[in-house]
Amino acid sequence: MICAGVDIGSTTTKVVLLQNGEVLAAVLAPSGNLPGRTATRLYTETLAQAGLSEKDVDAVATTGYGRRLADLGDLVMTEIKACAAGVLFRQAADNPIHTVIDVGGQDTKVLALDDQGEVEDFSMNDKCAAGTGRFLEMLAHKLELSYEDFVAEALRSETTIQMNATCAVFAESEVVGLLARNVPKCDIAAAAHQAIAARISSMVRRVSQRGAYYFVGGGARNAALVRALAEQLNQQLIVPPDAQFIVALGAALGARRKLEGRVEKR
Amino acid sequence: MTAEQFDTRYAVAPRFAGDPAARQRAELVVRQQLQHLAKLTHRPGNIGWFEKQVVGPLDQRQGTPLIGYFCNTIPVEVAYALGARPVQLGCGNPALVQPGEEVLSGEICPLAKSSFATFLTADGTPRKCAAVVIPTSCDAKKKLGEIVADFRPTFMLNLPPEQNTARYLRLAVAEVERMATFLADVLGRRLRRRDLLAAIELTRHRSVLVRRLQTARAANPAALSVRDFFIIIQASFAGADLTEWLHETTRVISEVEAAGPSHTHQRTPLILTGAPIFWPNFKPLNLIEECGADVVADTLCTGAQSCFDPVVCDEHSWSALWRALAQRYIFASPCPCFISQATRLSRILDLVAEFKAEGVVNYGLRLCPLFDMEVYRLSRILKERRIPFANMRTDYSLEDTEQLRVRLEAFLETVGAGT
Amino acid sequence: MRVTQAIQPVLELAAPLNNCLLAVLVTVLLLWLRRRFPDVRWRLLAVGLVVSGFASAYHLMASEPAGARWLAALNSPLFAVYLVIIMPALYLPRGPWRQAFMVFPAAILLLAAFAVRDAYDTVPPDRRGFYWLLIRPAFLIGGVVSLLVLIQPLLSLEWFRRAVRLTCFLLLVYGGFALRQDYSDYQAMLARRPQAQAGIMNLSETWPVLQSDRRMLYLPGAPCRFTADGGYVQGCNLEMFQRFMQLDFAKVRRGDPGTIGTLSVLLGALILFLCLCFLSGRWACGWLCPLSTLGGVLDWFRRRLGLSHLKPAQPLKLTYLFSGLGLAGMGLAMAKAYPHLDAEGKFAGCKIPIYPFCKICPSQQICPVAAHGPDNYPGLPTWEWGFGFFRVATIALLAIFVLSFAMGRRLWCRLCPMGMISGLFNRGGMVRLVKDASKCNRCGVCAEVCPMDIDLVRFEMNNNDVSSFDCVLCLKCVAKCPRDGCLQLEHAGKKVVESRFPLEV
Repeated sequence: MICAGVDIGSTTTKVVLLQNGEVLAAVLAPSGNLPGRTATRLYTETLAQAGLSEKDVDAVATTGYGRRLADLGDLVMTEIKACAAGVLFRQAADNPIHTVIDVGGQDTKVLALDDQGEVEDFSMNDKCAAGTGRFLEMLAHKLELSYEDFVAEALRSETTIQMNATCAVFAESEVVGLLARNVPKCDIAAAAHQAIAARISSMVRRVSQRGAYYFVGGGARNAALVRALAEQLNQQLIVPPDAQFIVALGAALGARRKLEGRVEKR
Repeated sequence: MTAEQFDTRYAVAPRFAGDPAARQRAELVVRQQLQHLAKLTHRPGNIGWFEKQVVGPLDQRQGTPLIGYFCNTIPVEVAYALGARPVQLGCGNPALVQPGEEVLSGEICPLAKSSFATFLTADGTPRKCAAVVIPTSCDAKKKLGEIVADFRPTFMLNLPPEQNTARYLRLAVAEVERMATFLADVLGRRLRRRDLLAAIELTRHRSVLVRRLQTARAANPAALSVRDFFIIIQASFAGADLTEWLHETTRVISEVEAAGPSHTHQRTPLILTGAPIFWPNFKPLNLIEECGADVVADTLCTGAQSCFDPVVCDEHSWSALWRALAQRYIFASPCPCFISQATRLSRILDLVAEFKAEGVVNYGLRLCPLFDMEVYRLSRILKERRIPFANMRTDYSLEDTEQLRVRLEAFLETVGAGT
Repeated sequence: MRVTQAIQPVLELAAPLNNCLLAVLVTVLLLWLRRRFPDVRWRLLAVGLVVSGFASAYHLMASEPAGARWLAALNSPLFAVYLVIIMPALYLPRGPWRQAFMVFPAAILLLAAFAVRDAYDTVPPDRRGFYWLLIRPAFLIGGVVSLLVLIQPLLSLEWFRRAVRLTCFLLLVYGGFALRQDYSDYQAMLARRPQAQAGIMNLSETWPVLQSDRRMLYLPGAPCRFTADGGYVQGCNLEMFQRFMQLDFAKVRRGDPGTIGTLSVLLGALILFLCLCFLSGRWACGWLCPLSTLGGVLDWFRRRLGLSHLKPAQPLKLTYLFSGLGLAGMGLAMAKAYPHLDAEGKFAGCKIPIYPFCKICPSQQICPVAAHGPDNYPGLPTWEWGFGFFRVATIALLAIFVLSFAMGRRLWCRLCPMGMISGLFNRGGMVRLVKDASKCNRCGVCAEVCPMDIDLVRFEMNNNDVSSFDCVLCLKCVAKCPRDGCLQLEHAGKKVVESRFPLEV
């Protein structure tokens, strides 16, 4: 049985193909300004690369901000449910996950899972940039660094300075001021990561205080952020190697579950 | 006259603004919401009458004065008994928030801002009112009273901080009596006992109809959308002739009851609680119904709860009548402006049990600390009892509609997880 | 005597149903069974077994004269009616079973009509005439209760209560002269009348309809013996307690058969009375007491005039309570002087009436007038009684009675000693007022309408049981509460009536 999950995010679109519990393909592309079209194109491309056609796919699910923009398949689910499904699939049996942190490009989500892996509570920060990947992008740009260099600099830093600004826009002006005082870029980068980690950890504490902690989304690929967040939460964070694809994987699992449910009913 | 609650030494000439752009935007919002509603498949035949009352403009009959008021803690029977019509001045138009903000502070709730904006236009409802009655149910309203006193004769009804009759019944009764004296003075009429009793009987009739409509709806939510239900209820405090309203609503009830209980798959039944949802701010209701759930009951002062309890009077002495009014409106209110939230909690839990709801959605207006802070205990108490709960904290603007949709959909997914 | 004679064997067989102990046993059994056996068929089976077992034991005991005497003292048609008509009417839910059951009260009502006809048949042909309602008590009680049960579905709770109160008033106040057992009983009543002297009110001159040598029925509340011709029942329970006090316990210790006989009759009456209280709490005060019905007329005037009522503060409530207790205590203590009264009726130089409490009770002043008009006014006690204490106390109590009912709703009932014992059974008896606090909106209507000014029902949010000593079970709170299912009256654990906001306009 082959199932597919398509995560149409605001920044990137991800497609995951799942066959009998094995990931056949996991592909990512920027969403662009027409996410629906991007998703459809990416989906067909991924299938072609895997040597499959649409008929071979038994069930498709879409998720993410643009989940209704592409008319791909049977099931539409929220990224919250998809994320939980993906995490449940991936978690080790002896170390159940109870808190999931998803730092995306334009929003950040924290999920609290119960013992069965169902979503007990969740919180989304999608109104303010200060706490999302966007914040770091903006500051990297201000420091005239590429995103990768920005992260590398942050990892290099050994001193901790404090950034005061809570708002991403004001943070930009604060960075200018720090540069003028000859604060090294690595320290600024590290401080930026600490600031965002502080906001995220505050959000986490409001939602859930149970381990184990799982970190997914684009932000999870930022080693400096992982380190800062682990420090702020004083917890170990589990980061899967394909952190950005967990939600799409969860969507595929959701499609499979629904299909199995229908088969059972018959 | 202003009941001498405000110092006339410092009266300020009211400044009227007539921002035509804001008015156009406001009308656009109303049209958009009406379009949303037009998509409903099943609407009562006479819903047009109710829409007309709620959309306006207010049809002011000659000789019938209007008394504007805020909140559901004002005994409106007094206004009816004096031959006037009470009109709720709460406004739900997001386009009117900005004009209000230009004059008042931005740090108050959108309801206060947009309601105040209606005072600023020449053909706004408040201008047509003989007087305005405002309870001290929140800080914004307290200070709004002072500002509005320069526009129309204003009466502030002082609510007790606790719903404790042993301590505060006398205060509340005195306030109700004082309000009646004020209104009688302003309108130049005498309040007679039999008129008050007749008004109480009218509003009792309204309670009967709202209860029947709510029960009929719950058996078959598809027969009447919660949005139409809210329009019907809000039409009764938009200055309509109450007798006509009773007649029209009876027709709606027969239609809904004739549809009978539903035999098709029921959508997720929810209890809605929280801050006022005034026309045309039906965003939360639109979202809930579009996401595939149904509000089967509510505790809103702009929904069924507002008309649910009748005024019950056993004796007909003046003091018994004031007490009956005060106890129903002030001491039985589930409003969070009182320090104990027990009345509201009991109501929510009772509704969940009675209507077999599968979840509770709390609607909170941003910048309202009363509803916001109650969420802390409300969410924990519902969690203890394993009742799924979602908090929708937002303001009037439509820009966060999609974010709210995701939250609601995710919530409904967890509620439906059991099925 | 045809119909009533024909069913005599059935009545004989069903005699055990009259027993107060069986009524209590069955009610308690049902309460216990409801908690353990949800299936009604098991419950009915158990009740049937218990009743037949009891009946067999009863008949065995009744075959022996001493046993028969004791059993007779514990019997009253009231309990048979309770078991056969009242309990099913309380417990049967609306439906086909209830409709089928309605045949019983209809049949009994018909039987009562026949009983009247049969009683009139005993009138000698040359004396045919109108003698009010000649009917044997068992049939009257059965007929009246059946009639009330039949009309109950047609009336709201408030109007039903008014109907019951009016019926009880007519029965208890006019029962003495208008509801005699048969023609000979009626003639005996007429024969007694010339001997009666208004003003002294000798009890021996009054002969309640339900009096027999071996049994006396005292009711909770104030059905006064001092109505026309003695009233229907023996009287209020204060009279019973005064009789206890009147006994010469020295004679009892000596084993004097006459005194012991009276004592045993009184003990039987006491058990009957306590069983009644246990089964109904203070219900008699709210629905039966003719004094309160009369006082209610004054209350009605106050309401019509639109005057507000006096809301008693706690000190006043307690004053009333202790005054009532004190007066009752004094009356009972003075009754002990009865065996030692000399020829002039004096004890230690002080003229003491044989029924001291009755002498100051407003009921003795009011009921004769209510029954037979102002000509029958007994007059105030003269100054010689108790050195004038009785005259003053009578005036004071009468004034308090009138003022309390005129200004304070049921304030008098806080003082009335006749209702106090049954009040003790409000908590712990078979009747309970129950509140579901989650449905309460704190509107306080229950406290507003309560004629006893009880606010426990309003404020209690933690416990389900909101019965209280003062509650007269008038059910006004239940009738007026706007939240469906918030307040309920429970009898033996079964909901009998609950609050419901009428959805009819």
